Amino acid sequence: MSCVTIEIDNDRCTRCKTCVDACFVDVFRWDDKEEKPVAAYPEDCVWCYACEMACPVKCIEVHPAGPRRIPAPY
Amino acid sequence: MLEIDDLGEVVSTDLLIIGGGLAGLVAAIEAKEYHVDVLLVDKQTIGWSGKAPKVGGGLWVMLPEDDVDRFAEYHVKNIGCYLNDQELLYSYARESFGAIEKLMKWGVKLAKDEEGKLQTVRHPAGLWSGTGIDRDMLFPLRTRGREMGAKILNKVQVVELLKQGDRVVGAVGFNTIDGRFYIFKAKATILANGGCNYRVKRMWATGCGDGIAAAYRAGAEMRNAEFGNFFDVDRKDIDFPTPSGAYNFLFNASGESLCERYVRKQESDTPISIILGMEQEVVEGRGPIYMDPSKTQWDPTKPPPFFAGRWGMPKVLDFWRLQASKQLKYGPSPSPRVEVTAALNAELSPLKVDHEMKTSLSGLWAIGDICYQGSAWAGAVPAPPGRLRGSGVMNTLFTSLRGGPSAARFAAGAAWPKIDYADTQHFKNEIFAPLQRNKGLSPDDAIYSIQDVVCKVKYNLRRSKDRLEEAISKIEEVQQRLLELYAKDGHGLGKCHEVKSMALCAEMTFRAALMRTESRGTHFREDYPERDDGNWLKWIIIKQKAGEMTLSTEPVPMERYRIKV
Repeated sequence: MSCVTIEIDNDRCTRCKTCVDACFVDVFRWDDKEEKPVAAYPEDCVWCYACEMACPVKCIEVHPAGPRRIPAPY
Repeated sequence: MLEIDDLGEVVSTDLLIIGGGLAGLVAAIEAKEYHVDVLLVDKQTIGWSGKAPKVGGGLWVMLPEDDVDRFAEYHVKNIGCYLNDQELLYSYARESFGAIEKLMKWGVKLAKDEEGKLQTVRHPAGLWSGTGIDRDMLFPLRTRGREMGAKILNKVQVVELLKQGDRVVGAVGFNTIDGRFYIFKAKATILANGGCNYRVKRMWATGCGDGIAAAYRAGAEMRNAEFGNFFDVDRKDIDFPTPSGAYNFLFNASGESLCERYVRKQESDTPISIILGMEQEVVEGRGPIYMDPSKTQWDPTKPPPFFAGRWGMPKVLDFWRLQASKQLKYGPSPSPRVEVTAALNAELSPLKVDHEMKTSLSGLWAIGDICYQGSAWAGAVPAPPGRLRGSGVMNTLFTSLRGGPSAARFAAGAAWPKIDYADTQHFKNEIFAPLQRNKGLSPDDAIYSIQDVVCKVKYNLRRSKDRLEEAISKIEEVQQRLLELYAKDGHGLGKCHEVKSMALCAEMTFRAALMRTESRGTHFREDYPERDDGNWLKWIIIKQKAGEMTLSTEPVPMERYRIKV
């Protein structure tokens, strides 16, 4: 289950692919057919917000939605 | 005749650098001075990948006027607990300021005042200093590396090293987007792809031990693996470590102070005793554990005071501003108490290297997070940061500035190796096997099973013979199912290989911890609670022989070292 929802405003997106590069856990992929970025693996998002900060037109918003699935320490 | 080209994309280079984070880029720039071909390969996108650019911030340094002897003595006695390679520790300290000067020359933004003067803060111990580094540190390095002719290949996950006899001659991997198989033929290879974090910490989730596992399977030696167990106090609401020193302000459900009850002596970082105390409180029914946030001088709805813009690191400030705004929007209302938990921060970095960052295999070097423990300059500590905050980035600079030129010199004088067709084909079959299955063990479930062992205080911090054997058997259960891992695309395939790497890393840690029948540094054995200098001034060396994990010891050469027990 994903601990985030990732919103991309495709009307404002300039198709620069920076979000695809910026994500260090491979959440974003480029959709060749639709010519747009997609949050393909949101379950791996660690809400570092690199995509949000890197986007030149600020059309991405990451909404944290609950804790990650990490085992308890005790 | 069977040709290697038939198996996949063959790329030849004098020097192959696996991992394009801070270590890889620094090594590439240095290596290009020797006029060799350099290729950087990364499973993500170089410029953004690796750990260093995630948060930026602290950078350990000794200033020219600082006393290296006093620092080394403090470190050996209080942090490394005599398992340091003292000669390398001295070099680390002496070369740190030069590394800072190089970064500034290359255009990396460090903490400076309005007049451009480097800003530093003295650590309370008075023996070293800290400065700051901005989050966008990799961009000027990537630009410089490219201008010098270094080539870059993104989105290729390297899985295995290729060998010709005992010499490493390149590597194989796959493109995570299009699934192409890559065969890298190299005169020299540098592993710069990080330690093992078991995907437990948000900001450092890519360090899965890929390089450690590949080197182990190729026959390289490991050292100090038992110390891969850095636990810290984390805030549950933001899933992030508390500020340094916050452990002083913890209390249980009845409001009783944990510090007063458990901490007997101050340590250079979060004391092991407070983590053990947190576990004891919860197990005995006095949990959960809370922290008084007003005492830590950090309100997560505001950037921390250290980075509040006064030091000219705009990207670090942007990061904290955004974190703060998210906390305001999504976090709980401010409260005089926030719940905290003992959290494994990992890291494991046991690849053994010499003073030039050469591994025990010919043709193979290691730099950065992958060899912090294996180089042994820091002794009996989990690393990075090795209970010396800010030393993760400095260790990367130190090892890369040494390893890059050493590997380049070797490559400049080496002959072209031959790649073995049968080995390559075997690796190719193994690498893509999970794509042939559509059911079995999901990599996410396997990762959780491994985390469920390494994250547990009872296995990884409050260690004992029985519990370590139980931990090993739980890891073996995962390992027995590795052939059931399945993936439906390149993203999932990458995770399958990360599972294999993580399981190996966990096994190394627990086997070494079982062998070390004493307590030292961050290795605490409930059944052997005292330090045993008579028997254990030794490094544990791990090596694969005939498919088995073997452990041996190597005496620390105290006769050569200045600081005696």
